[in-house]
Amino acid sequence: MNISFNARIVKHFFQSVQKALAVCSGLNERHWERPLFRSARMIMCMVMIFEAVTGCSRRSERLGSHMIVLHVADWGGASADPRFNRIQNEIEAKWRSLHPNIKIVREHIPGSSEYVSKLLTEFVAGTEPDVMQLDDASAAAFIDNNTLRDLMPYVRADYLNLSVYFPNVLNIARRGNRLYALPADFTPMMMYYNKKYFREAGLPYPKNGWTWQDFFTDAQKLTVWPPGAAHPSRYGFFAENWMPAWIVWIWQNGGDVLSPDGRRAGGYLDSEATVQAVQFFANLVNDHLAPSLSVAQAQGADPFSSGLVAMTISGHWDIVPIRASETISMKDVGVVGLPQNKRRVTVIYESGYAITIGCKHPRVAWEYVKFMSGSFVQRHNAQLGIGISANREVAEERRASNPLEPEFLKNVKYGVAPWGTKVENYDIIEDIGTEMMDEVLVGHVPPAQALRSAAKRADAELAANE
Amino acid sequence: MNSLQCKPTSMDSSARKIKQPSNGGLFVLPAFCHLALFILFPIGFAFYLSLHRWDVLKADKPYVGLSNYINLLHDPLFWNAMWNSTYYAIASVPLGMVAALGVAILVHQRLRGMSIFRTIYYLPAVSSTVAISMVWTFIYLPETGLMDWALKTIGFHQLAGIDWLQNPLWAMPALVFMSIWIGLGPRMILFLAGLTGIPESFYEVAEVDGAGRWAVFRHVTFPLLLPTTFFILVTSSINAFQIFTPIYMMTQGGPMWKTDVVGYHIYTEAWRQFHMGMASAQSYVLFLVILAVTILQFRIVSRRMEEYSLQ
Repeated sequence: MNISFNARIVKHFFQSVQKALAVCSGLNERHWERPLFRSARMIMCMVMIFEAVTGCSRRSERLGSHMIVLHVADWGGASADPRFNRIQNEIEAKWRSLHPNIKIVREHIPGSSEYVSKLLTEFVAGTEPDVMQLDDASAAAFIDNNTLRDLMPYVRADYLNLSVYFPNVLNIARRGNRLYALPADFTPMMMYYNKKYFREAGLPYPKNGWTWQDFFTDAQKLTVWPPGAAHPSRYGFFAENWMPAWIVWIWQNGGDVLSPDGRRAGGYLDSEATVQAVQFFANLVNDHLAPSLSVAQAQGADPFSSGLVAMTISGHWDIVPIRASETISMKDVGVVGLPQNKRRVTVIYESGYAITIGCKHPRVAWEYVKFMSGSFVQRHNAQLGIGISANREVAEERRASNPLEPEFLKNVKYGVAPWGTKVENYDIIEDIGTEMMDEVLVGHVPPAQALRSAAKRADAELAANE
Repeated sequence: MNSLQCKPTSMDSSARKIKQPSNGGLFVLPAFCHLALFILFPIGFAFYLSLHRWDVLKADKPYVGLSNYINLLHDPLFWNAMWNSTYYAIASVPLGMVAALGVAILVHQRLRGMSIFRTIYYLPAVSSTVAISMVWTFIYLPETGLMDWALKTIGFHQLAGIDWLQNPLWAMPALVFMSIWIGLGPRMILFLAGLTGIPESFYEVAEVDGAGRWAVFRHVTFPLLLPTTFFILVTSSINAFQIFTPIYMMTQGGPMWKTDVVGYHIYTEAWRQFHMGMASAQSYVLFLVILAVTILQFRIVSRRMEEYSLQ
């Protein structure tokens, strides 16, 4: 994680190469003093100096005698919402007025998997930011590798009242008595439905507590087949092969993908409850109640606001494209808790702010984390509708901001954190799950067979990573 | 001292100075530093990684010798990826070369406005592969895609409705078809340069001898284009084994690993699973395969070139 660590690696590498070459070619130490090899060593030194210099440059630094620079990584950036820039400017102006001697330099890294891989690489190179936005779906990768600071000493020193946050959201970054991030915003995954399509089909709007059977019947009635067409012109549901969204079907059926300690997939990923849930999901596509995977993929992230599907599972963030949509208006959109089979449950996706272990000014970084998680920033960001504020007071203030908000708040208590908060390499399990669903939906492999094979692969990966 | 030997002049000494390697070394130093930093060092470091169990965040990165290479020999998904890359290369390179040669011969005609056609055919080469991949994803849509419409229009109703990118049988052919279109421009330009280099007198002699169009192509154009063909074959084969962007954008290796080519497989191993040691071992195996294919191509083609030169 630091320069000496990198230098050791380079030295070790160079010695290994030297030994290997010596064995292969019969070279000895005298040969290494020849000009060619001296040049090679000089270049290696340049590499190390270059790496060391660039490695140092990203650490929190001081400008002039009082100015401190904090590097902050997030996955934000440009937005189509014209209010986005205004709100960000207001937040930055407020920070500058509160802390004129602390300059914030942002590093935007779009894309969830790219965000994780780039940041992990930065940690190895010793160029990590001082503060990072922490996605709960990949939190374990950072927390379990000791890349983040425990925030509890700062919480205690400042007498920060943690009860202002939703408890299940705050606990996402907890490990025993340690807390690794303050939550900013979050969303439970919910069922969005098109009220107009329900009215046209003569169906009542779905209510919390509805069942899988209710959902399946509604999806059938909402699917529209033009006369003589090979495919529906409108689908009842949007079934995307994206495990973070479809894992809820397994949970609702009382199943899971891993054992409670997160160390075993066998007996869980291939359990009867999981098989039933995957079969139920596959039936939606096989019965043409949901578009095929390539239609789903080509539609991009939002076939709901384009009117192609009548129902979709998504987070609070979907309000943004719905507001901007010309094909659907907010008054025609409803949300409801997910249909249940054996258990009423949904998954929560959350983001918070954490301080990295290498941060040179943790006290300053803590001020920034508190600010971003505090009510001023939360009130401003909540206007965009991307998520629900983790601050309960701010979330309650927003209850009347749009007709969907009360339903979201009602379902927060059913939210469960994703496995990525607890299992470091959960990305691999998600890849295996996606490939398994591919086999079922495209290859028409029976779910029991596909899940057995997936569980074996997942167990091998979990064992290899221990 | 031998009387024939004379005292060196100032000119001789300055000539000797110019020949001193240190001066030349200074000129190549910037390029060599770049090469060393961004090519040679990563190549060497990748080999070092391939001998270790190297997880990005784990402090412990034990030396494991050749075990990454041995594990990889028993990894069916890696060899599936290698087969997919081979399939892609075997299908896309010859078809792409034939298409490019055909188009090059057509646009080689001395007709008015031919430069416009040359520009049109070259356009994909200056477009972003990411953008092209997105467009082709829409073209291949099973219900509303352009391909579906085109097949119905020309009467291939039985092929219409295929979910090209999600069908295990058709996903790879769909990518091969797209690659022919993407690679058309650069290959066409090279063939065009080769065609322009063939002296007109050869065609005149063939015409005097009464050779038909096919005979002229077979005995004049094709043999004289052989060096160009060889160059395109080698570079296209290397590129085909390294394909990544369309896979990343369009199929992510699916459906059912049918388009999981080695380049994409290495990416997922390194940046999704963070197994840098295994990913580096896979990269070296890919390098060896490409090297073997290139040597094979050199041997076969050089023999053909010798045969033609003897004729």
